[in-house]
Amino acid sequence: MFTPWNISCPVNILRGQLKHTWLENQVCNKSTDDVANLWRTRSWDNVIGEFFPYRINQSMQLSNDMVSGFSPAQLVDQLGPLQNLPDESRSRLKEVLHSAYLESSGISTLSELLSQELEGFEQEFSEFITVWNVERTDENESALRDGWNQLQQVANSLLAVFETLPKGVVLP
Amino acid sequence: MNLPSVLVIDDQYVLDQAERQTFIDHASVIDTEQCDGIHDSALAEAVFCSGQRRDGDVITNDYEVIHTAVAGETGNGSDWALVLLDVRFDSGQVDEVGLPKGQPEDDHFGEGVRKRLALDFPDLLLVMLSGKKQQELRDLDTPYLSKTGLTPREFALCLLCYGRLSVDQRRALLGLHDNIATYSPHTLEVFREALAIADSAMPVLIMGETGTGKEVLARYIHESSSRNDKPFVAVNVAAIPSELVESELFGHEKGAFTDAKQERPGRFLQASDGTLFLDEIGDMPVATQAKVLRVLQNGEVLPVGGKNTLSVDVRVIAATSRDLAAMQKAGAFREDLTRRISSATLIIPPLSERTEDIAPIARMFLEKYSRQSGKEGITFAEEAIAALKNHPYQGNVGELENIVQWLVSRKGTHSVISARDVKEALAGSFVSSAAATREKNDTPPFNSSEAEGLAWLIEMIESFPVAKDDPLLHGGKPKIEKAIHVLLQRMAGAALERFRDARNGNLNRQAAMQFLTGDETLKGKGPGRVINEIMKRKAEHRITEEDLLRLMEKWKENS
Repeated sequence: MFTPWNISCPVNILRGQLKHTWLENQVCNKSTDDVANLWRTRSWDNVIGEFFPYRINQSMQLSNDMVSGFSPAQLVDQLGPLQNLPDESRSRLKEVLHSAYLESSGISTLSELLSQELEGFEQEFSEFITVWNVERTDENESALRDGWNQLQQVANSLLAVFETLPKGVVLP
Repeated sequence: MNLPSVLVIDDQYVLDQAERQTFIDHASVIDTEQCDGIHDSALAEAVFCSGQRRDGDVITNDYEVIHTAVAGETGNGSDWALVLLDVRFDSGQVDEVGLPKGQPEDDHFGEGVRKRLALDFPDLLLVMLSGKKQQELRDLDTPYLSKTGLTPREFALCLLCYGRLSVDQRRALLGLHDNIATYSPHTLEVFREALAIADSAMPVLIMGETGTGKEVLARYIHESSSRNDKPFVAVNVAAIPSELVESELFGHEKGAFTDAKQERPGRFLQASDGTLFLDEIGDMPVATQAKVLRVLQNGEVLPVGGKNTLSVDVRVIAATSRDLAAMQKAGAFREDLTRRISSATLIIPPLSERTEDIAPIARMFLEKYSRQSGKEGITFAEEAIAALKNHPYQGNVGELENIVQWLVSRKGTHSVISARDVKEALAGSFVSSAAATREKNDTPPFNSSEAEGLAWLIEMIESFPVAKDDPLLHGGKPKIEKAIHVLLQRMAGAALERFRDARNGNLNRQAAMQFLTGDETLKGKGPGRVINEIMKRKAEHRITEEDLLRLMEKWKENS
């Protein structure tokens, strides 16, 4: 993926935040013992109940927006010299750039892959949250640990996809 | 001892208490803002800084906030043993759930801060924090610490590698207790390397002169590993007759040889699931080396006389005071075995290169032998310590131990060991050095040929230290014959001590004579007879005059 100058764009800000702040720090970095402890002390009720679903939604948004979001076509509207071109020319330029980007980058495939992984994660998470919301007992903790292990496996797979995403506007 | 202070610059650890607590638990640190007491296993004190400022609903990444925190009370960053800096900071307008929406510069803020801090605080010690796994961060130019799978050991190693620490702080992070009295930076670095590899299964080769503490280091590795609740089995290969080495290591079946009255598990099996320490591996017969290599490769041992192999899971730590590369060239040690056992190599410096260790080691032995002999309150005068530090210790820690043991034996309860006491002990310590030198030399096995026996004798003479007041060196050039006689007498005497039975003090003259000369006709004869025999062989030009003159000159040079 050709992003020589890491030209930032809104989807990249979102990508970075989701990968670092959420997936790495809050999911993949958390051992089962950590999560069990957070469950017992109820320190993470808000995180699991509110933040995780929010992050999942943000990730879905990323998956939906990333094809256009990483497109070099957006630069046509940003680059000063191109702003003097007639609208029609700029429109054509955007089409050409976008087509070349779609052809060479494989971004559509990545978007589908991200979407699939997210579906898997969301499914696993919906099962996990039912285990999370039960009474804090030793017996339930065992189910919680199993649930977290499974969620982490899926999260690692999701993170691997995030690692392949571009880190800025993609040039064809 | 104060704990090292660490500054942790991470937005999430300030915004999110659960994240902060996770880091605190995994790194085993104390949060200086929130702690209400010291816990025994804490490795450091941590101060957290978000690197941001908040104006209403807007969070901004702010280098000045970081600069102020890093400057600390001293103004130059020297408050901190180490600074940990996150790679990415989330800033911007706070959204409906209270999380910042993000800004384009968030991804690179950490890297930018690192560069600016390097200019503003040139002596600052800084490590980046990352969510990637540690294996992925290994080969990067900038040091990183992974938050993923962080353990107290990983954190301790990070501090040891990159932090500004006192000697006591280093020892605490390494988990060194009073029984490992090492304080020199060089040796502490060796222990740090040992800690880094302790938990892997890779074989380790420890190199160092005799008496430097190779077994102590091997035990430290074992105690620091996940095998520490399993056996640690030590074998001194040099102490085992060559014909018994394989049986000792691999075990034997009943009837495998004449004295094998019952089956016996070998050391590999005894160390199963644990650690096997092969000391003086350089003395291992070549044929046995091949079999040990197979065990390391296949994880199976075949007892002597056995038909079926047995599985073993053993972590091998080998040690040698010899030059394995030279032995390889001479065909005495297998290159493939060297490669196999030296996946990790640790080199312990001789005591002469770490004089900071002499005083604490001496005090440790003082306490040990005082306790053993029931003599309380014996201390060293400061001048005595200074005298101890001035000695070269060719026998390394072993020699120092002998000296302290001798000193304790001559002092009473609550007495002070003076510089004079030490000098007396050191004056006699060339015998100790000889003992150490004797052990250092690769002595041929009992059934050596005459040539090997005499070659060994000459080699020992060349390394034998001479006291400055030795009569051989005074009164002009001594008569060669007489000097050689005296010299050989001393050497033979020292060599003969090797064959003294440690249990009853009796000298096994037969073995000694056989060893020295390879000649059974001399068995039962005293050292004088042996010397005469050697002189006779000298006369028969089997040892030349030039050989002996060369040895004498070398003695004078070494004095």
